[in-house]
Amino acid sequence: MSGLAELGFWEDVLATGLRLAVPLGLAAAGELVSERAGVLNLGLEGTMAVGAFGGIAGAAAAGPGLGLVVGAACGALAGLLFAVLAVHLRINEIVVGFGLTIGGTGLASFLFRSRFPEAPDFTPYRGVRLPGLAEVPLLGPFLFAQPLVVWLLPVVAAAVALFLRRTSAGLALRAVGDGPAAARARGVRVGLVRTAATVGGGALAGLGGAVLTAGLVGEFSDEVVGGRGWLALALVIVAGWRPALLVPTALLVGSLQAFYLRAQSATEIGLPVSLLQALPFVVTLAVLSVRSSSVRAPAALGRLTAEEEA
Amino acid sequence: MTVEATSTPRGPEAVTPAAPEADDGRPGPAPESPPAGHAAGRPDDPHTGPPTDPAANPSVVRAAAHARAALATAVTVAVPLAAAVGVFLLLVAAATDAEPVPTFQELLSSSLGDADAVGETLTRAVPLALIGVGTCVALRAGVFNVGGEAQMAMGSVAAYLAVEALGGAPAPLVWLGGAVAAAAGGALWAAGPAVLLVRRGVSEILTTLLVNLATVGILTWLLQDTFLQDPDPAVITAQGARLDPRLELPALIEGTRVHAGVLAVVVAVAVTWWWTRTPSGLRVDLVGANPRLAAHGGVRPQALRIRAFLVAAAVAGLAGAVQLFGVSHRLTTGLTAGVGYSGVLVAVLGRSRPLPTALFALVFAVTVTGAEAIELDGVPRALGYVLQGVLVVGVAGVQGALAWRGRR
Repeated sequence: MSGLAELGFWEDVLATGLRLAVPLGLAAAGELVSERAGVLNLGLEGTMAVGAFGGIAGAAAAGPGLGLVVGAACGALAGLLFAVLAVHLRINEIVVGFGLTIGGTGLASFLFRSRFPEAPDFTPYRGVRLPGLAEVPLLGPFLFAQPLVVWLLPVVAAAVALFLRRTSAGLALRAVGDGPAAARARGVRVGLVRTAATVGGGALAGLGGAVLTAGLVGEFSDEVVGGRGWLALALVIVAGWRPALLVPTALLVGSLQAFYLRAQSATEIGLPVSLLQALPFVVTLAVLSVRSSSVRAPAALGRLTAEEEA
Repeated sequence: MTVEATSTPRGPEAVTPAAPEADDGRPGPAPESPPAGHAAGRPDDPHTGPPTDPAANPSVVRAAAHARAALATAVTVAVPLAAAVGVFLLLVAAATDAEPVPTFQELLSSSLGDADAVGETLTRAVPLALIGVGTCVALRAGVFNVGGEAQMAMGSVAAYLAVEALGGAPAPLVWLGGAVAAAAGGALWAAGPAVLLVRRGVSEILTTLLVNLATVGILTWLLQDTFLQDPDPAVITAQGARLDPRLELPALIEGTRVHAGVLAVVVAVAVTWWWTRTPSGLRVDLVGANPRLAAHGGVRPQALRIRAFLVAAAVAGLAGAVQLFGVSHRLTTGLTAGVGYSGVLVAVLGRSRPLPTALFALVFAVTVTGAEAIELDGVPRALGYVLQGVLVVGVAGVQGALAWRGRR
């Protein structure tokens, strides 16, 4: 029941925003890995959906920890399927992406409804309050009273950044995405690298879905992913394919989603709440339009089908 | 259908043993009666080979080419369908308590079994086929418009505004006005992504999808907080007022829900089919296949792209009007029900050709109608979407395999 003038409202928005940024950011990090290898996986939405289901299935069996593992494994399988179809069989990657999205979303819903006639019973991660620090206005609820799982986002983003920049595998991956022919000439096994990148990216997207259901929300619904996969695809571009920038951009979009959710439960807000639902998408669209001409995509991105075997 | 089938690129060559003349696509030996593949005049069809044996009777050769193309088409349809059936049986057996085979029979009989079922399936196929046929135009120009969902929703809103504006005019006039307004509304909703695509090179796939997602909120707001909302105070969901019954499209087949909107599909398929054979259609094909070559030939690729994009969006808007007048009879947030997405897929499956696209729309409608019926047996309807995914990947896979064989 708090209005826009109250601090508590904004504390809620920021804190929820960080939690909602985690699934988005993880999925975007996954997509970033595969795109840096030159694989445009438009099946992110479906991958997150199977991860979200895997998260619930695992959590129902042995708590949210197993849920995250199962969700990531399901996402990796979806990534493998994509790699086999698009990288190896060279079926049009856009078509495969949409097929994976519609099929994965349908499969998650189908399996959940047939396997869980009653809602699974488990407790998602709860906030951990750091004594003292959690009482600081604004920053306290935002940083010092969160479930620990939110720290997966900066950790994964940093790990992806380090991997791409500092390891030889990361170098090979970037080489494959920027100049597959040259990479092949240098002895890099392009198909293998791309498969690994897509599987790894799928695992992160699945983990994102699982964090959403098993880690934070505690339940599954058909709308649980709700366009986050597509948002994540846009975030990769907005971040200019740089992992470090994924964290602030995901935080921005997550906060806008949180703003809508909080505004929904606040009564005297004086804004058309249903219109706020569109806000994260409109802002993403606007930022995407402004940013997309100043960022550089991996040179081989989106040419999987056209590329000839060297 | 015959002409459509023969234009399947590389189908014939895939089976033809390598002939020395196979390198150039010209029908050298029998110029006065070229192989059937050339009759379609598709520019992306350079591989349709000349007769294997130059001395062979041209009509025999043509018949053989027809047969090979028909075989390729049959394989393209049969293999994915079989895969979809297999996945269906497997998932029903593995995840539900229902019997797989009877459940599949139930899916078929409830979507194709009697006049009622066929009517329901046809009714569902109408918006799918319309969006699919519109998408064909955009796909041919190389534009992936995935915004059908929002364009259709805004088309229905525009059609409703036209109904309000035209007041007590005769029904046919209101339908016409509604259709025009809907087309304009759909196109307007694609204008932003179209401009972003050609001016700044922003992927139209992402922009149109983001517009879809934003439109969900905008539509809810329109139907909840503005004059468009249902005046009935008992209604709390987001929906508009019921249309005057005289404005409902008449039933085409007595006793079923099949409405006159089916005619719109027939017209759209015919017009698009004709258009693909006009110089304008050929120019768009050229832009889709090779924009640089098109520019050399004096075509302005960006202008044609925008035009094709807007045409697809206008047709999606039109689908919104047809759904409003024919089925829902009021504005609702569920009026589009995902056909904006599936419509794109049927166009991909139909390889941007209008008639196959409309036929795949029927197949998708079967999966949706049938999946709803089997939900009563404890099989969640989402299985229908899994089948659609399998079909999409399967058809693309078989086409890829045939093309691959053709290249060897």
